[in-house]
Amino acid sequence: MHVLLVEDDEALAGYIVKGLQEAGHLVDHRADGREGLLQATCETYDAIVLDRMLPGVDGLKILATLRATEDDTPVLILSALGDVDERVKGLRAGSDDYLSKPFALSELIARVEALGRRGPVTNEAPAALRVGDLEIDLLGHTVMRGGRKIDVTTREFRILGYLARNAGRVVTRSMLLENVWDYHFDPQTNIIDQHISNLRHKIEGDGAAPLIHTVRGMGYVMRAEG
Amino acid sequence: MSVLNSLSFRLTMFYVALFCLSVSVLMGLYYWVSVLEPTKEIEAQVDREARELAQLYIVDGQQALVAALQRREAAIADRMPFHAFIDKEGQVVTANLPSWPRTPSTDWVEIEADIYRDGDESDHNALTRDRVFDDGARLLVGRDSEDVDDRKETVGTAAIWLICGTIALGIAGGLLMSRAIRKRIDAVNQAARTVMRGDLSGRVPLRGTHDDFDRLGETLNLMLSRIEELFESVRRVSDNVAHELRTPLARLLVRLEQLDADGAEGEERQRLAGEILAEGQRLQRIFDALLRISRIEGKRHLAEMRETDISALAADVAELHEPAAVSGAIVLSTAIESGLRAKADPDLLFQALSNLLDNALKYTPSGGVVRLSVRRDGDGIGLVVADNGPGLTAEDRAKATERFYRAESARALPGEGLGLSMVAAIAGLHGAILSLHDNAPGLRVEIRLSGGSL
Repeated sequence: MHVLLVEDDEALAGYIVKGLQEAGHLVDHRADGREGLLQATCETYDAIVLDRMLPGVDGLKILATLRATEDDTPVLILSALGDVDERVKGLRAGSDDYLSKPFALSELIARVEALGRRGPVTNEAPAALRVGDLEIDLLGHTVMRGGRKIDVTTREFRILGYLARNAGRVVTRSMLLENVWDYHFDPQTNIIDQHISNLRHKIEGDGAAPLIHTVRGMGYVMRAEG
Repeated sequence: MSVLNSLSFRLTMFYVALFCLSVSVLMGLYYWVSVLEPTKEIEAQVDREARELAQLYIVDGQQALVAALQRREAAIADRMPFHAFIDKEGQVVTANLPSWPRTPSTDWVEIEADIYRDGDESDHNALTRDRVFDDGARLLVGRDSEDVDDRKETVGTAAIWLICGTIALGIAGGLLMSRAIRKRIDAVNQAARTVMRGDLSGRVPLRGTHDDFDRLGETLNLMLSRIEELFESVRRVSDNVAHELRTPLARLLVRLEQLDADGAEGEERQRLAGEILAEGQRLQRIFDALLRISRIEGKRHLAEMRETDISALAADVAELHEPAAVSGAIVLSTAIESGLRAKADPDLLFQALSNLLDNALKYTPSGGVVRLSVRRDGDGIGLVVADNGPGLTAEDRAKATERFYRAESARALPGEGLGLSMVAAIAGLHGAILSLHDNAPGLRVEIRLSGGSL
């Protein structure tokens, strides 16, 4: 993925650039809001990581300018103003995701990767998702594993759908909460793990190959092994 | 601060000036009515008489004039008539004025004309017109104006005394008043300075008279009490924060030291890194939660209040926690009245209910029952999470919403003691009432959302 990072904090920017590069992405970095905006309009990116507080310009203004020129490159806002209301403000201004500082680098990478694939191309929703021998029929709301129908609850269906859409990529717990439960909140315990555990039990029972893998300290990834 | 600079003294001075002015205006009016007007009347009368008498002399001669003057003197009148006639040879022909100026004047003349009768003296003052005829004869005609002159004098004296009195009383009163006011203000200043020096227990002394200053003092004291209370709680929270953060920090440091030691290799290294990450995340969670709580409490969190289906939200919370209940062998039962709506921030309310269910599931032993019920309660909505776990003592219930507070019985279980603080802050933001009850056995927590549109 080709990612543009607009962040004025040198140390943090270096850390993010290194992390994204290690995850196999091509990163351009601009420390200034105006330069960042210029760069964003000159070149096509798969995703933009935009700091909320930049010298001179508010990150939200850059975003608004970008959106006004009908540029709908996915944007993730980084902000030290870490609260739900700020997040809502950011999302309203047209950002696709919002992450408050301090954050785990893994969370940032996972979210950027999810954004990149959401990309501008996904206009038509596929009717079915397939990961290994797992088949998810999005229209018929049915799940099949190796030709055998698996009964899942509506919520489990949504979890599977989200994981499958992001197959091969790490999905963090908070991404799951936001996208599957539609609530933005901090669970006190790793409550998601129980749901995943139940789901695993259903789709990986009877000695079938594991599909949902835990990535320690990060979240989950759906991948057909081998 | 000198008395002369004080506002109250300056105000008094201003009023003294105003009083003096009004006294002068009143005296002026009185002078006009009782002195100037009557004088004008007398002058008009005397002028008319002088003209007629002069005419008489010119037309009918001296005899007629003298007769007329004598008639005039004998006639009964309000104002005693005075006259003097000196003929062309300089002989006084007739006069009841005791004296007159040697040289004739064309202006009004006031002549003292005291009368002695039977040993008594009666004061008179004649307002006199002086006329010299072409042949050299001189006629003075006047009327008594003693009463008017008396009044004129009285008005003058009274005005001086009144103004002097007003000024003296005003200055004395101003000094006394400003000193009294300054004393009260100094008391307020004193209290403020005590607080500024860092002693938050400083208060404004009250007199118990319920006057303006007492009420001001009361308000200031209430404000100071509130500040002291808030300051106390901030101090307690920051003490707690420092204390609570030491444990995860210490664990983090121990693991980092182990990692730093040469012995850690391969698997061991991986395990340590994972634990360090977990501790770091725990620290971050604590900070995030603290920040959110204080933002919500300080109303700096712009809540997204909107019409929310509380029933659906509660069902979502229950559904989210169902697997946790199953794995802990706890029955999670719900009794949710459907279609209940209220104005709320759904994310925050979800957080609050989720925290309550988390706690209930965490503290209830296997085989227990946790119950989530949502129902109409008067004109509000009651959200209740009840369990039959160990519960809390009355003392614990009172302190449970304080940050980092953990009941003795809960120390062994994981947690930071921030969950209920968050619930309390969220309830506060919604104007809801949070209450903790004994469920005998267990704990029952109720959030009562008030009013809104149901």
